[in-house]
Amino acid sequence: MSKQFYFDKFEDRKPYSAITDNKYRTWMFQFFGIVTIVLGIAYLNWRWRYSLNPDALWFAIPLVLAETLSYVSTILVVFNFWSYKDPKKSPPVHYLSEIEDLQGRRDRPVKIDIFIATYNEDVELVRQSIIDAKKIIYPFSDVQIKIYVLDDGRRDGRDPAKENMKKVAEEEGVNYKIREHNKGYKAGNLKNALEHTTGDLFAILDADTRAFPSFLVNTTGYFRRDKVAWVQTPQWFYDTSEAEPLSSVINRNLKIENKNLIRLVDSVFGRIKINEDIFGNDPRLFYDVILRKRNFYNAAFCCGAGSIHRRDAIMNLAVKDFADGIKRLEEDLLNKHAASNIIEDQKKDLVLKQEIIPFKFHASEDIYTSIMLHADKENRWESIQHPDIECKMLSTQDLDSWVKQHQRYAAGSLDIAFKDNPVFKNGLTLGQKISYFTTIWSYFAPFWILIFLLSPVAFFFSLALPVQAYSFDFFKYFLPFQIMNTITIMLGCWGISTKRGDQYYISSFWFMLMALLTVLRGKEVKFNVTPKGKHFAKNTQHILPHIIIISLTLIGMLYNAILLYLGKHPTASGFAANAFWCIFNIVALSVMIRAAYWKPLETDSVDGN
Amino acid sequence: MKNYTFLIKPFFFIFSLIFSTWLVLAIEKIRPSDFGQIKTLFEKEIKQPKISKTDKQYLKDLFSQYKLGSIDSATFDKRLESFVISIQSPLIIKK
Repeated sequence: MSKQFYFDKFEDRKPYSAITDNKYRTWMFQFFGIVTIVLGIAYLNWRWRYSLNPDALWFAIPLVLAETLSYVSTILVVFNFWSYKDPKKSPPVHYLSEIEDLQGRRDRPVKIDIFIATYNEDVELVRQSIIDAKKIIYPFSDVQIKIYVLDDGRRDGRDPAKENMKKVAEEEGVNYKIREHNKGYKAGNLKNALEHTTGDLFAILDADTRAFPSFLVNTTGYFRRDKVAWVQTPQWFYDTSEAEPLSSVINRNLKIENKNLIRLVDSVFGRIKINEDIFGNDPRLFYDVILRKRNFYNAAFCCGAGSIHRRDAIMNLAVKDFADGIKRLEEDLLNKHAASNIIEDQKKDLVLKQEIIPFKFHASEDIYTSIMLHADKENRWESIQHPDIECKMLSTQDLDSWVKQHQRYAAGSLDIAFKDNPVFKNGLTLGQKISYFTTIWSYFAPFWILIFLLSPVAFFFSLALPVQAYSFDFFKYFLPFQIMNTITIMLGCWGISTKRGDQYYISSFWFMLMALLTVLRGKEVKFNVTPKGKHFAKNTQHILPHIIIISLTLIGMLYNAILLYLGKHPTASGFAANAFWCIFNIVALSVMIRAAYWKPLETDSVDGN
Repeated sequence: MKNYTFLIKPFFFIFSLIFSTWLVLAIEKIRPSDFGQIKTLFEKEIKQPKISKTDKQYLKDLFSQYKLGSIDSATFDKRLESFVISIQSPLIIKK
């Protein structure tokens, strides 16, 4: 009997359908987007010039600064969401001549490799991915499709303490590749694979990526356009937590056993459902809107798993990098030994020392390589975000893993921003530069989020207001801007609930701040392999800042309520405004606290823990 | 209907914004806030126009003449206006 996993019960879940593009909705979005930008300018102009409370500038200036930075995000969102431009779908490719200029070479059927990268995942979980990869169909029998398990954990049977990945690969009849080190993490693993394979196209799957049979049929056709370097398909997590009635959560946590009490709780709270996708893992907004709309600027970047690549593009880039690397080393050598005759001998050594690296050795190797390919002025490579789901994956199942995964994304992107910023990268178009800048900018959000979270607390304890008056003037600028902004986002993300995403955008402030500090301190961003399973320990450390802010907010509200009761509060309306603000803050922050203590309804005894 | 549940959040947010605005303005009417001395940050502080003793005497005389009927309302209005213009400068808006 095959091994049971916690996600077995989700096998029947069906993926969502991609949002259908609608030109009238796009026009509406563009109209509302421009109106929002204009209203934002008017609001911020009024805020900076007329609204600051001179008696509380310590409070007023940080807040208006946070609002201004947040407004920059609004502009970037409007720019990024401007329009869909889904590339035309084409039938799957058969011959090499359909995807590249043969330049006199003999034509032949294309060769496709499927790489399944693994490190320490349960071998039975990888087996499922292999089985699904074997089920991938292709209409041409002479097209060679080879599957490779790329095991960076070296589980080839040499260490009896480890599971035997090689054995599983052999049992399933697929190729198995290892290397004797882990240099370059996943990028290094892929480099090793490319050195030992010959596919014209290659697909990257993670250990838990289970491709659908149509994976290649629906994606290889894009490569008929000879400048398409890669196609990314949406990553669909099919194991996100289910919604459960609030009553069952209350009964379980309070250990209520009395039947009458249970019935009472059920009748009061039974209709309210909570904890659906408690970790905000559903990436639909990212793939179906953010990345898909970047097709418009040819700026959709690769996200690793579920992507298919043109070998020629990635190797072309690697060879160029190789040549550039040698040139740099040569120049260094010449500078050091200008008058020496040993240069010629050392030059030969340089070639041997330099490596051909297809995917950048970086914690965010996928986005970094995408930037480099987009910036290749000679080839002008194109990327495609395919709208339909072609594979399913597992999401993080505990907060600790979730934080580590997202911290790596954040730190990786910030590291690129500080070391090789795409904004200053020669070869990228303006649209691409702004798109990449948007990704990087989003990781600076903790600066303004922190101010937004602490502002009500600052008010409650200082009783100072950052604005001069809660007059009609304030609301005549603030309200239209906020309403238009909400409508714009709603139109831009039409069909997708942004509730969980918004909550996590706010509640992620702390770990994003930590990621930023890691990069600023010059620490190496490590490639942490995301655990595929449940690890319920070590969660509290991630939510301490959230608990502190919520506690301070609640204490502040209580203190202000007492002052109001005693008739000593200087601004009752200020209290009302901040109390509303706090509700949104607390709701957003509390999702991470709930996630930290979340456990599935049934305790799964099997999943590799 | 389930396809449109994504609309709940934005509409709820907009409703909350409008409701909180109304509430804040209503409270302000009932119990105005003490925001302290108000002045704009990036504009030069404008001093309250100072009225000298002579100006004060002029105003007193003007009102007495009008009260006694030695000038009509049109003349009174004209003289008052030119007086105001002579000392007028942008006023600081006080709460």
